[in-house]
Amino acid sequence: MKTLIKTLFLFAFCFALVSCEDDPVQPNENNYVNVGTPKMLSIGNMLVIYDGENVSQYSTVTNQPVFVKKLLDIFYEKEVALKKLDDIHFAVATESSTAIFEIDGNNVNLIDHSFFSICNNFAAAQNAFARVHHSAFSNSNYCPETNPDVEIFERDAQWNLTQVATIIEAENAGIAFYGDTLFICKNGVSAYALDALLQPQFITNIAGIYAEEITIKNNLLLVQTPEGLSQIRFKNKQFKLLSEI
Amino acid sequence: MMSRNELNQSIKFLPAQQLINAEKYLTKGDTIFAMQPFEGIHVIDNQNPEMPVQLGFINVPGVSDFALKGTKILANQSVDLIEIEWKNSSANLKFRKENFNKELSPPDNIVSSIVKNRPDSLVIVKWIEK
Repeated sequence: MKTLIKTLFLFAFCFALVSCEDDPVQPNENNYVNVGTPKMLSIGNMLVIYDGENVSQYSTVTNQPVFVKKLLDIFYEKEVALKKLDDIHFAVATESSTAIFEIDGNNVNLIDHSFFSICNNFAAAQNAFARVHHSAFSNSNYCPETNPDVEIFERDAQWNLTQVATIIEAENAGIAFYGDTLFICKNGVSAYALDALLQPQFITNIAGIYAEEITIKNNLLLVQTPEGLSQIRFKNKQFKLLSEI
Repeated sequence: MMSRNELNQSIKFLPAQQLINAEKYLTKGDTIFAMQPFEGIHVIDNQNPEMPVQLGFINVPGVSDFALKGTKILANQSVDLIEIEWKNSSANLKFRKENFNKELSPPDNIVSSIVKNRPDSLVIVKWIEK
């Protein structure tokens, strides 16, 4: 009898240990959540904030941001990106759509909301990000990043897009425009001039730099790499690596 | 996770730290602000792009994005919206709107009972995939 009690006790103890050690979770309605990581964007006198579920406009003319209105509901998508296109346009890109807003004084108007309009294979909002990014700088064209090519689109006043060129085997990473010069990650960082027909003409490249993201300030490229930050000057159609942090 | 008290006291300007996995760079004049997600913001003096100098690191645990507005740094810190004033090489918290954002959801979208049943005083600042 003693042995049986001992065995039962030992079994119960082991069961309790296992139960404490693990916290098995099965997906169900109660423990499944799907909100995105909060994002924000400062543009003009406003702040655009994605709080994980909604994108809203806040005024920043006072000391603290003041809620103005909700701009967009985001349903069940985690990858959300906010991107300034120019002084009066910004984009909200998700895994399945891109919404473009225009600022008119203190008002914000939705001018385009495309679901899978260009690429039906968005792997992440980063791609949508890149595709809207380019209209910011060229204003007449539109350049989505697909995997792994970079496609250049011309857009009309209604934001209708027509594909006009492709740069193949780009590395699906950093991409940016400065004037009519396109910088992409391909064998390092490459520069292309867009001609009158928006056809990319290769200018030069700087090898050995994998650009996860490219930010441009005048002719200075801030290039985010897996190792840190590289600064590259683009002058007289030549790259010069200035520093790496 | 971090206690609400710790989160509220967490904004500090620390000595420069190694720039690892920075995700977003914003510039203001000759200063570069680089966000290291869920950790904080590196501040870099870029007067000489050939020799940038790391000024320091603004500790912002739980930071998921930020924006610049004049001397202000607005940031999403976990569930809060905060504003930090960057002036004369110092960073001071100006305001905090608590519980402004949705809570950071786990990468697999499944919230375990440990997280669900935690004390109200604990705030999620980061998820680490095992």
